Amino acid sequence: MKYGNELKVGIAVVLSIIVFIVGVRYFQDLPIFSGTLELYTTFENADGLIVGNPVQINGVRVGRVNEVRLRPETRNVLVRFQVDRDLQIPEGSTTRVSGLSALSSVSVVINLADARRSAVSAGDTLTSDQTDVLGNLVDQAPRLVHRADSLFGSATTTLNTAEQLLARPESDLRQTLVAIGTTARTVDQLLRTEQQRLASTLESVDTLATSLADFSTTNQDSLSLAVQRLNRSLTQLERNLTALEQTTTTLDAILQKVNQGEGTLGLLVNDPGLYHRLDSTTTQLNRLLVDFQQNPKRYLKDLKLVEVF
Amino acid sequence: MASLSLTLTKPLRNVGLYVLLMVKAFASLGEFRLYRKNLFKQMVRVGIDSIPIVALAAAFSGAVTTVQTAYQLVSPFIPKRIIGSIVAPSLILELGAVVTGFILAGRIGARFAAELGTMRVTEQIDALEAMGLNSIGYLIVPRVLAGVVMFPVLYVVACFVGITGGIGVAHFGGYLEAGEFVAGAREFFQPFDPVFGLIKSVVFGFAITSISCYKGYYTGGGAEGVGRATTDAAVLSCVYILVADLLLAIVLL
Repeated sequence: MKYGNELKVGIAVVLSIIVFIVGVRYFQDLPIFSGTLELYTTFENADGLIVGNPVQINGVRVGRVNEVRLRPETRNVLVRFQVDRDLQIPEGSTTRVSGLSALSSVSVVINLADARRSAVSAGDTLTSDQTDVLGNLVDQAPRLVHRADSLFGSATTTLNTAEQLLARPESDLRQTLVAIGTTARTVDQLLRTEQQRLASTLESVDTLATSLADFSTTNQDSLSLAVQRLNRSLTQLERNLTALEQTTTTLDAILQKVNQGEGTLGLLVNDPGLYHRLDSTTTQLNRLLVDFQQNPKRYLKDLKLVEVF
Repeated sequence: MASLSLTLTKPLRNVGLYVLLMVKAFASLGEFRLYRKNLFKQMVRVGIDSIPIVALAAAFSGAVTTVQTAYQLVSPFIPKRIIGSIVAPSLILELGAVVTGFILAGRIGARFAAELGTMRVTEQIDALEAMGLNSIGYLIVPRVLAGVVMFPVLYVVACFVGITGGIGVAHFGGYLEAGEFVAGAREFFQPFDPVFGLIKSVVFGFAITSISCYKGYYTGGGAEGVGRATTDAAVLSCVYILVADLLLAIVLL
């Protein structure tokens, strides 16, 4: 063939160009034949997002991050990413950063909005809704650590004190423990020596319970009658007590009125006027009677009946 | 005294000679009809004929890198796909170009120096000049051009075969799944990496072919001189591949 070498070279060059382009797109995780859509989003905190991180929807990789740029004028992070053009992401879909850069790769996650809304077009910006759970946790961490630290500290102190106390033979704690030990031993010995008697006592208790049960079974009818009567009496008593209580209440009210000087009785009890008047009346009557004794004629002048005698 | 100054200035004279040769070669670049047929012959020799050995070396490089990375990453906290994140960029940035460069330095550098050196020693180059042919345009330009054009092709082959070899060994050797490997490779992939590799391969191609042509073109001293030129061409090519590798990494990354 006349152009054999040229043909070989041409095939090699063309194939390598195709492999190069397809390979680059493959490793960029871009669809090799269909197009892509470039979108923007902004984050307060990019959480270690870098160029090349995946963009995911429902955990499936659909694109990659192309640019992460801090914008000093707005103090947020502009993220440019590209996704598959065929995805039809509805307007109003939101983004968030997912993952921990320390443990694995960070990714941008798109939460799709209602599918009936029209799809976004190239260059649109998706809003982000970032809930910084981990950040909050990290903020809390120093305080938690501090508290745990002080807790451990005091625990250590307590244990040290206890250790010191236990080490001293004259300490209360040690003596208490020794006493508890002695008591436990004594109880143990007692239980062992009195085992026989305890057993017999328990047996007697058992017998008693059995005979009691027998008794209650045989005299069940009379017992129940007695209980019924008792019950009736108690009911009566209760009714009487209620009546008594009502009476007491009424009496209490009356006495209260008396005390306050209301009514006749109250006036009688509280108003000294009557007494004073009675007193003066008695005094005058006394004087009158004395006068009557001394000078009966002054009073009996007009009594004809007396003249008869 | 004169010999001392001659010894001291020898490296500089060599550099000057090399630069002049390249300038002449570039000047002859327009005479396409002169070297067209030779160009494609050299391209097949440099490129197509080297594909099997380059693919073999790249496949083994990728496989060995994967196995050794898997051996080193024993921490349970490091996900296995990181193996892919290490192996693929290693091949794309460094191994694909450098392994290919070393193979070509041995295979092509030695061949070019021996060919041209023999032509010089047997006075064929003088004969060409006597016939009024531009020997530089006829002999050197197609060889250097073939290196510059075909080395990127070999680089692409090396990367493709190397990554495939790495994935194959990872998958069938039970180190990690092919999908994990690809996911890891994608995670830290920068589109500039393969472009950087292509730039490297063009530079390496130029360095290998031009140095070996220079060594062959200026051979002297009979059969022994040809042998020395061949050795020099292979060794110098390797050295300048490493130097160029470092310089490019500093300048471009």
